[in-house]
Amino acid sequence: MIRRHNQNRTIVLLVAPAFVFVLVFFILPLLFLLSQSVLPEDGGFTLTGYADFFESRVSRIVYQRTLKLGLIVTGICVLMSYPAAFVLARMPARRRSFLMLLVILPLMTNAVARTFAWLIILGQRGMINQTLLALELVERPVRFMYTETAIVLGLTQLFLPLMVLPLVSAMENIPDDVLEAARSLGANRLTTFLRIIVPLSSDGLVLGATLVFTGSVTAFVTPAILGGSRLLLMSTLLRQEAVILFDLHAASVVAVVMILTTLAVNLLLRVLRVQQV
Amino acid sequence: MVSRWMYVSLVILYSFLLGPFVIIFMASFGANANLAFPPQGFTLDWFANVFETSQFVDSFWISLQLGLSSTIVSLVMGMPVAYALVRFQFSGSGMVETVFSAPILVPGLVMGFAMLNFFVLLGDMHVMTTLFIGHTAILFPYSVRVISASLRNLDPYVEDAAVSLGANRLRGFLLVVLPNMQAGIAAAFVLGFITSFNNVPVSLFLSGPGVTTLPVSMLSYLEYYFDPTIAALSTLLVIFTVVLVQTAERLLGVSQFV
Amino acid sequence: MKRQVFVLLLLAIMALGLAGPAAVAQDTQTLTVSIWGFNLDVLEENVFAPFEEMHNVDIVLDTGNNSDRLARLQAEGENTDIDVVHFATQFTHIASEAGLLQPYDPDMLENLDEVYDWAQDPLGNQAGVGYTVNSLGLIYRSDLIEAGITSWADLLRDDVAGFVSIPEMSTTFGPAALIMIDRALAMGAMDEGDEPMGINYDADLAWEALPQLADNLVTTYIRSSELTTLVQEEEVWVAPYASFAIGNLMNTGHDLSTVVPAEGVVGQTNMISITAASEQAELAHAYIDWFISHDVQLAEALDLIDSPVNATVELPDEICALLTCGEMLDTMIVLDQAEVSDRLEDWLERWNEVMVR
Repeated sequence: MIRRHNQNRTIVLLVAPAFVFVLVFFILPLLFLLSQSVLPEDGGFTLTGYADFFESRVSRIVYQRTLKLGLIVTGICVLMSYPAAFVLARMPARRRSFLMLLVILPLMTNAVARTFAWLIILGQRGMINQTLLALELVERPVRFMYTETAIVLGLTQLFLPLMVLPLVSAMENIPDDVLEAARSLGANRLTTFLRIIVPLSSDGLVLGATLVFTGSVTAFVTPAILGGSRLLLMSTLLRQEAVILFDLHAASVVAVVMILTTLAVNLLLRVLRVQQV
Repeated sequence: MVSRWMYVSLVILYSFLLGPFVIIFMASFGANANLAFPPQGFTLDWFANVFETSQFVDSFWISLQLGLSSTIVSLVMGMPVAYALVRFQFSGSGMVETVFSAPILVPGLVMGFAMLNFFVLLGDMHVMTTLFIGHTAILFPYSVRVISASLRNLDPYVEDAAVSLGANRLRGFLLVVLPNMQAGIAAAFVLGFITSFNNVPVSLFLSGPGVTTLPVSMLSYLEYYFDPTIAALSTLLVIFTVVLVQTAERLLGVSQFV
Repeated sequence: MKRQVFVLLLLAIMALGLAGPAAVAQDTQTLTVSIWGFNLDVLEENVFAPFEEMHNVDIVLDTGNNSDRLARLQAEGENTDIDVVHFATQFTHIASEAGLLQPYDPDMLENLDEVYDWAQDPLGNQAGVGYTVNSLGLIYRSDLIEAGITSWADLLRDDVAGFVSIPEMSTTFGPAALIMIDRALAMGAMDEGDEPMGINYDADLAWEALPQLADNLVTTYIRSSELTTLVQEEEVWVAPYASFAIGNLMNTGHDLSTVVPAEGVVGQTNMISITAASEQAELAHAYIDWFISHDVQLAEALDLIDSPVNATVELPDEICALLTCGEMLDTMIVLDQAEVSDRLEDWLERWNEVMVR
């Protein structure tokens, strides 16, 4: 086959262009961002930006809310996806691949289009309120817009496919024999579910949870449209600091906190995954 | 094992996933200029308005250009990386994989912001160039992953046979490997294009005079008007996507790689 | 066969992608204008399209609200592509202080003489020309608020709780709204026969009441267009509104009444300036001159967009009643921008503390 040193040269030639591209055009701006967050324009190295961030009531509220909503959205996605993913995984291949296509379709439509629908559903004259009024369940329209509920609904719709897809592919790999065996050994449905299905699909669950959570805590469009200017999340706070208040130092602190949060979640869940295996 | 209530959960899941699309679809034909539900009457005016609104037409071309150029470049540069990862075993391969998956780990909004600061504000780079760079970078993970998957499906001995018959490595790749990867490349292309075409976070901070991507111009339209024009445009985009994906699927069976 | 079809299809899309913008690019010069994204279709018809034709020039727009565009201009400095910029006075003031603007040359503006004196050079350093005046009054749903609205302090009332919106502090009228609420609270606490009071730029009473007001709010708004959609979708019943938005607000089809509150309305001018970096000074002057000309000012007023500053423009009474016009020009309160600017940074922080939910 190919001689050794020749092979090394080939690998370098193959990888180098793209590697340099990512390094220069992706890593470098991020390093600059990092430096911006610790080196304000006037003066040397300081961590006051971070101290300000965690001491300010506004940014603490925003950060906590972002994490809280991320957890809620992840939880709802898990609850909604688990049983459905199990059904999907047990289906005949043909029907399943059609239904999976329908799960993927929303992912291929931009977030603005998908969030727009919620304006029609949640408004004062929206679908839910018209229904509630028609059924005489309420006397006057309920406020949904510009609430955390609206953001949670929007984010859940946005990221649900990211939970369904890994769960289905994890459950596909559970052999029917295992379930049969459990049944014949006298396990009831709940026990089978908790003792067999959940552990065997935990890989998909962890992957899905990572994707949904990190997606939710960094999404911009949904909180921008459904949350309004008072109900800020990290993403909308970043934009406010950068564009409206034009405080690039504070904005870069928010940005770095966002990166660190997603990295921490990714690491944490990766560790979880390794332990389970 | 599969019980009735589990089917109910399936129905709930799908109505939640697809319900909003039904509502957008209905709203795009409604005659009322507000978002009151249910839409009244029937009109095609909102579709006409999409084409009459110059910000949509202009930004559509921008997004199309951007999607095509960044997808092509990320493929051309990503393909050799995938090839190296699949065909060779080398000590740095783990690091290479990490570097190329990094753009998925970093929030798009943060990336767009970092690029605005570094390239546009500090480096005075043109916004369109910066957009192109940003989109190319976020597409690498997809290109590398999909192409790797399609390479793994290929029998390496076919290539080796070509090489042993006297073709050099490059010719072997071009004449034997590439033609057999058409479906994988098409899949990576379609996936990459759609990812770029729909991206909001990276593009959000990167707009300038005359340069705005379609999703971002949809977002800014919403800052000015709440009328069904966005619904009509969304309906058109869904059709565009379905046709694109279906064509690729029918002709090449790309879904096996996604 | 199938594959060839797909490749052809891809090639066709690519050809389209590359040819499309090329067909748009022409051999004319361009003038880049930074402006709000509001009412662009009307502006296109009244202002941009005729100007493009007259001067064989392409107008490229950069849109956003004041602070958005100012931030960008500050960041780009010498490198900006923008030639002409529209700002509210307070933002022109900041841009001018930062050296981002070049002074206009009065001799190059034929129509300047027709403009009211106070709009010819609002900042006194030829940083820009005032091209329209607008005012902040109150608007409300007369079908839903039975008691009516007469004062800025009515925004605090219980019967409107949950249906109020006010402009963000970072916007043109944010400080003005707060100062007017303060004035209302102060006047409410006054005894009969007390001296008429001036403006308290510290707005202590309003700050004290702000948490209570915050509870009444649906959300705050950044653009007047957002207020329009909030009113359109029935999320908001009462709010301070800028007069240039009246046409859009009326178009929502709801029963809306405008009020000149007991404490008065706040007026301010919007200005057009030429950026320091622009190399299109001549064209930029022509653009300003066109904007303040009788014909443009009349057309903009009749479309209920911009209240005129050109003294030769005569408007029908029913149009004048909806704009910032006639008698209102004499009675409206004009805030001292220096006083506002001094407090703004501190106020933005305090504002966020109260408003964050």
